[in-house]
Amino acid sequence: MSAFVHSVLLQWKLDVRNKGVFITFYVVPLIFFVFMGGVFTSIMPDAYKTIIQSMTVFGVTMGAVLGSPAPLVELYGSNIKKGYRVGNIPLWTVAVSNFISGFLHLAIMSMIIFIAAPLLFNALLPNDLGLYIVATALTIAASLCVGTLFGLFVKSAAKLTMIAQLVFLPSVVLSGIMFPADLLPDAVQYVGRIFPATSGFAFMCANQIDIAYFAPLIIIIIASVVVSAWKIKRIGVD
Amino acid sequence: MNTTVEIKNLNKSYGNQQVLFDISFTVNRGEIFALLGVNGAGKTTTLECIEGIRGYERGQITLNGTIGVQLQSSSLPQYIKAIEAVRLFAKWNHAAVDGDYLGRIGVSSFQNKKYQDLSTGQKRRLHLAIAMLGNPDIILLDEPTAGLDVEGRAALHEEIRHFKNAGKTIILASHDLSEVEELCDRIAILRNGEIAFIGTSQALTEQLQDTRRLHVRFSSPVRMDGLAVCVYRTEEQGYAIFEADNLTDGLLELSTAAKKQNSSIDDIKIERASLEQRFIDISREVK
Repeated sequence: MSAFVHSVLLQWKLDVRNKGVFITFYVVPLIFFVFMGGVFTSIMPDAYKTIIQSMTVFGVTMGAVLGSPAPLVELYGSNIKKGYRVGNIPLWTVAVSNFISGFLHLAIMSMIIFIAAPLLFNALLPNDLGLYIVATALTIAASLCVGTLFGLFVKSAAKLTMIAQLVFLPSVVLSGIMFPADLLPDAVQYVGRIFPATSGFAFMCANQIDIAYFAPLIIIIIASVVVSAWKIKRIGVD
Repeated sequence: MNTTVEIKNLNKSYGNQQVLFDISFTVNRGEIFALLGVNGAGKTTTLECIEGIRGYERGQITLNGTIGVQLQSSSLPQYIKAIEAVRLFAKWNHAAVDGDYLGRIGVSSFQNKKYQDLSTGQKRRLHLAIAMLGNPDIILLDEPTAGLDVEGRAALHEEIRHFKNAGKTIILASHDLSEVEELCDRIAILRNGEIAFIGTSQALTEQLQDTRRLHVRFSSPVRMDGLAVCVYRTEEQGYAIFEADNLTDGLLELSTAAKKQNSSIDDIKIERASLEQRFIDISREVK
């Protein structure tokens, strides 16, 4: 097994052990799904059509924005990075391992919602399963990219909690998962589009690839990768 | 002897502040070499330049061999288990995990404990085990016994001697003179980023063979300028402290100076200057 694969598997285990991360990846999203899924489908007759997508977007946003940056802040914001450098572990592997591990955890969480929602709330399955998987994967990837940026730029866990909330709350409110986004003023809708949750939710609900939803996710991913690479290079320099 | 580490005219700045000034020294194979100095003297920066985690403006560092590093303030993710950390670093260094070695330095006894649950001593041993992966030729240890109890310190000293016996070259940074005296073949004392002394601890002691430390209480303040035999060091609890290589001449000089300034010696204590005091003096001397 290569050193990189070893690092990814180890990060996967550490994420399960880290209560803070595990709670944001699984516990809160799934409790929210069970509780709010019941509420939504009771008070909104049409909620069963989008309950899988909305609960998935909520869980992915929570895990990626609140949970996934924590291990990165712990490492890049401390002397652990020095130990990794003298121990010949490239600093980029930490961010990439964390991304892959987070992706796998959030994919599992999304799968649990996908399987449980029809059983619990009579939820409607997406028409095009392939498209739904692509949309979910892109939403997870874009959200984790934003989380990775937080992990690289925020210096302490305390600051991370505050800053991540500043993105998490508007993401959830403006994405359209709680109520239709078109009820919001146009300007606010545009603001909402800078968050992966908005485009991700629209893309996951769509029956075909629409560049209006697809492009923002790709742009977020590319921009985040470029900025993350630059930042990691800077962290590695004296 | 083979030179394993050669540092020539190392200069390093943080922003506009220069912290290392033309540091030069060599370390031979199988030697334990200490960088000694008070906090902020430049020990850690020198080591970090050698380790390659800090750049430097001028100078040359030559390492004839592979290095293993134990940092002063290293850490690991809090949820990682000790054995997982060893395996992770071993993977990235294409090194085998030596179970016997882990047993000998005591890592096996806590290998399944998470990093956050380890004591300071256990963390030190774990970092040492990681530093020794791949059997490096040169070992760099930054304050290796900081925070350890007497037992842990003795065990680590034993381990460092074991490395020396195995032919390893060891550079350790410390502010603990007794540790350095006990372990090291040669010492470099750093002061404000410069080497103020380099040699064996015996050479440092020999410098002090005839030196006496005089604690003098005068009846009224006496100016200390113009002294030829005595060197004024400091003042402690109302006593002016001098060092003199010739006791008779020193006493005569002080009593004459006091008399000339209408003062007198009320009390005097004389002691042989210690290595520790010499270290403190060298470390604090104004450039």
